[in-house]
Amino acid sequence: MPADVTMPRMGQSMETGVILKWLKQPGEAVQRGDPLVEIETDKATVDIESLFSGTVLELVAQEGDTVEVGALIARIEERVQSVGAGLDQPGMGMGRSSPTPTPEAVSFNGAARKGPRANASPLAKRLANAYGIDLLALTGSGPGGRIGKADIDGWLAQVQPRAVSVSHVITSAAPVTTQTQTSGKRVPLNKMRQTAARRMVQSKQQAPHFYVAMDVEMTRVLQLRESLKARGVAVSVNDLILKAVALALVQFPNLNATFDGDAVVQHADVNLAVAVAVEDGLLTPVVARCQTLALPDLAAQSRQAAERARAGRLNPADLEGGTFTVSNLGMFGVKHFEAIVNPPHAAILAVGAVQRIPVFDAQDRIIAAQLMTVTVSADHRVTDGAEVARFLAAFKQTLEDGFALVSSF
Amino acid sequence: MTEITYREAIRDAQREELERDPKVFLIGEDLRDPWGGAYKTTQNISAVVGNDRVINTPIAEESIVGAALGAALTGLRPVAELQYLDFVMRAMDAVVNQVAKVRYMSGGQVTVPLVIRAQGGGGRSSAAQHGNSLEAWLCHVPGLFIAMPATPYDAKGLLKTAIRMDDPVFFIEHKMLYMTKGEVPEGEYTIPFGVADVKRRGGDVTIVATSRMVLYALEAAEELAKEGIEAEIIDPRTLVPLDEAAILESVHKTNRLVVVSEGVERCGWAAECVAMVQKCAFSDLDAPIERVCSLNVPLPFQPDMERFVLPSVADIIKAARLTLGKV
Amino acid sequence: MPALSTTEKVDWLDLYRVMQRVRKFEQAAFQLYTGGKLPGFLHLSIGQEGTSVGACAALRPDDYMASTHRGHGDTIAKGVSVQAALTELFGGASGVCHAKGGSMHIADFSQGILGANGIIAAGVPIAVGAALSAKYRKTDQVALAFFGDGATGCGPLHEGMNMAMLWSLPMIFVRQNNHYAESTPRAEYQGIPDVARWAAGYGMPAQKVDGNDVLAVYNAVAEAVERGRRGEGPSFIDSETYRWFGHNIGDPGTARPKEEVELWKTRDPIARLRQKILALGMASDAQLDAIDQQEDAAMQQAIVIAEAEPKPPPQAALDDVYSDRELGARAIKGLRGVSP
Repeated sequence: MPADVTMPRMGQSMETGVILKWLKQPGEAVQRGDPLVEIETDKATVDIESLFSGTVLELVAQEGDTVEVGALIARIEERVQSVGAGLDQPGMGMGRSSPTPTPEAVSFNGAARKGPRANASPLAKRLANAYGIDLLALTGSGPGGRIGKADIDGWLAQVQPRAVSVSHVITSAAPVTTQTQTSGKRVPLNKMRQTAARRMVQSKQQAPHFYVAMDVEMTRVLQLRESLKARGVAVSVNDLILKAVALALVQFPNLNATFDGDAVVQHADVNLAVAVAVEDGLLTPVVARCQTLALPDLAAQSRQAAERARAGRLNPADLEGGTFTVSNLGMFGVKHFEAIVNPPHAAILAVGAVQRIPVFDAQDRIIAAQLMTVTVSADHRVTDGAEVARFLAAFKQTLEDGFALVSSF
Repeated sequence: MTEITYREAIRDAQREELERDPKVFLIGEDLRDPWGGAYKTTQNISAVVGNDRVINTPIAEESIVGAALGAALTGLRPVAELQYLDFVMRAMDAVVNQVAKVRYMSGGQVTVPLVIRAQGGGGRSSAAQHGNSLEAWLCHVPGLFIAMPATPYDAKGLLKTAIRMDDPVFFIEHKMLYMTKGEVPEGEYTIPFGVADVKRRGGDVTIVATSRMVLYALEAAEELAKEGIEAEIIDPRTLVPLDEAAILESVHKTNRLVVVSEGVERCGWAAECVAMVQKCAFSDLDAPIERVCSLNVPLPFQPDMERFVLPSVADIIKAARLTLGKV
Repeated sequence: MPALSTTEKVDWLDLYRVMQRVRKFEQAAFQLYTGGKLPGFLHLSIGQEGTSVGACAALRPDDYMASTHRGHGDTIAKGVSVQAALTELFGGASGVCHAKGGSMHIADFSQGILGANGIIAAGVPIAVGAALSAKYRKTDQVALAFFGDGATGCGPLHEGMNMAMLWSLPMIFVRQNNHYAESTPRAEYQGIPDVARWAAGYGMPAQKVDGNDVLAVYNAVAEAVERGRRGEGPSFIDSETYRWFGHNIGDPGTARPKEEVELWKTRDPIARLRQKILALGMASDAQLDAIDQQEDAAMQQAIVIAEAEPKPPPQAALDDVYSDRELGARAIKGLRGVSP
């Protein structure tokens, strides 16, 4: 869309100016702020800067022409700036940029902006660019909601990388080869895998991991599920596990937390990041406020999240805000595994398959049991074995008892 | 090392350079013994080197600077004193249009080995005509080098360097620093221009401060440390040339900047530092840069009012916390 | 009173030659400027040659001289190369100030020329400083400051006179009184009619001379120079003269009555010396004409050369701000074009 360039008024008494020299020619690209034309007033010779970015279309006034202030001297085909490209606004007079448009700043003119812009510090913008984060999806914790580095860090901690976070899988078959191979295929890591690689290394380096496993007798849980199904409430075993985790975390807020230097930040809500296996790895969409959700709602949300994850239709908000992760490899027949804590969480629960195995009852008779092994990986900066053990005991009790799972509806 | 006052550092530097080079001489008002300068920065000098080399002038700032220039253009190395930085206004043509430009306008025919010393700053109810911090005016003049030391160590080393330079130096002291003490080496030493000093290391916020404000910044840093905020304090020591690299390196590390300068806020030196950092370290900044300067009013006489107008330690603490998103 | 013996110490023909040289330079400058060849301002001193040349003839090459914005005559008289000065007016790179100063700032320190100066009276304290320096170094050099009548009310002039008297400096104050400060006549800027009187009030010998009588100027200044060299302190000479042209090119010519200008043209210092030379039989018309033609030819050649001299590249604007290369480069560096 062509923009008109007119002879500017360079002084109170100026009525005309003389075009001395065009500094750009038709067809040339011009950036806002580039010197465009040299004009002469009765007082001085000045360079006039372009108010527009784009391409010079047409020079209407010629060198040597005397032109009245306000008259058209050129046209520029404007190129619309992409969002976030710069803080300049169509301004007053000489085209010097007006100050930052952050909400708390005094606004020096009310010119409309082009498109939505994130309120983020320059550093946050740089980091967002590097990590491929859409700033518009973040909420900032800075003044006026400004996004800062802390928010970027928080965001990175939530996003589940597209890499398997499993440390090792005991029942998996193939032995790991340690020889370096000279031939073979080199597959470049995409951005998400790179991020994941970085984050998992960070987690392992910074959080001293320890692991506590426990077996849960799932017969009652499975019966409960059947009876709910018969009554038209479709829940998966995993949904029941999620609910149990949420209720247990309410009793052990220290595990629903983040390490912060000299303190542990215990989160108000239990937002469970639920691992979903997708085509090239794992995603962990977050189901928020699980401690308050009724089981059918929790089930519905987790189902929707899983569907969107598999369809590749998760948006960034879906991956944000988790406080604890649950990863279930039971559907693959995995008996037991240990996961890596997702920073900035304090712990993660790895769930194995329900297996029918013989156990001793109270009278030392052999009976059949449905045992599911769960393993908590925890950050020893935040918690310890005893606490995790007590958490697991509470979790186990909630699941085996079953009543608490349904008591809220 | 011995401990001396800032005043003694200035005095010693001048005396040592006078003894070292017969072309050096002092010129200004009230310099000779026994008076030894309004702020005693030339005491015990004329008694030692003679009145020939310590010239007391009439009150005529433009000609003090003009004559010093004439001497500098004809083989000598004068150190001129303006009793108060505020009085440079009387000499501004000589400083701006003559001293700073004669080399350039002559196409490089001459060097101007001239030092102009002056003390500025508020804090003793000297009121609006005797307490200005005008470094911004002088930094705005191409052709001068500007030094602004905060400690005896920096003052002595920089003044000796200034006297040995072949270009004009405006050496800005602070009336409230004269009695402050610090350690200096016993032997000969000089400090190069264009090298900042990290007066304190820290990782959370960078504070760039000049002259007396360096001491304020150090106090502020002690307070900030109590709440776990570690400030890094950069003292540029010379404003022209400026050690941009030291400032940028610090901002790269901390992502936050506070600039403290006693001059009035509007168009003060702090604005220059801010402009440079926002351009060169834009994407290192996690918060807007804060300036802590005097308010945009003349300096009032009454002490409480004066304190209100001048920057304070509390202002610096507040600014630092602001960059960290704390209120 | 100055004895004729002082005048005998100077070569009259040399005075004539140098005055012609100045005249030709100024005429050339006028033509070139109005022909659009010279950038900036032009303040011509045509008519004042008697003062410039007479005074500078009494100085040694190692004596110091500070001039004004109207400094072509003073600086040529003191010894700046005509070629270098003319090239400077063109803005040529080989100009005496490497195109950095232009007309108002012609300087040649190798000839003791502390510079023409765009600021009224600013040269006075600088010359005082040079005199102070000579005294400090115990040489017998003297310093001479030219200033216009427009400087009469200006602070630094008075400060400088006080200082020179106070310290008994080898200073010569020469007031080039052309009766007008730009457009303002004496009655509107000067407190008392006789400036020599108030100069005498400062304590120094003060004399008024006919500035268009180059020999009278020479005598007065030579005497002042001797006084200075003997350590007897400063002198003041009020030299009455007139500029034929306006304050600068662009001056509308409305400040002065035409008859006044015409009257002073009849007092042309060059014509007057010529008459004297002829009257005393020192040289013939033909000899004087020959001098005229030589100076003319030399000037024409200088013009051709000066015009052809290359201009400096724009980047030369960054040179010679400071003498310290490394610190200077850092001091002038800005953010234009910097990519962080």
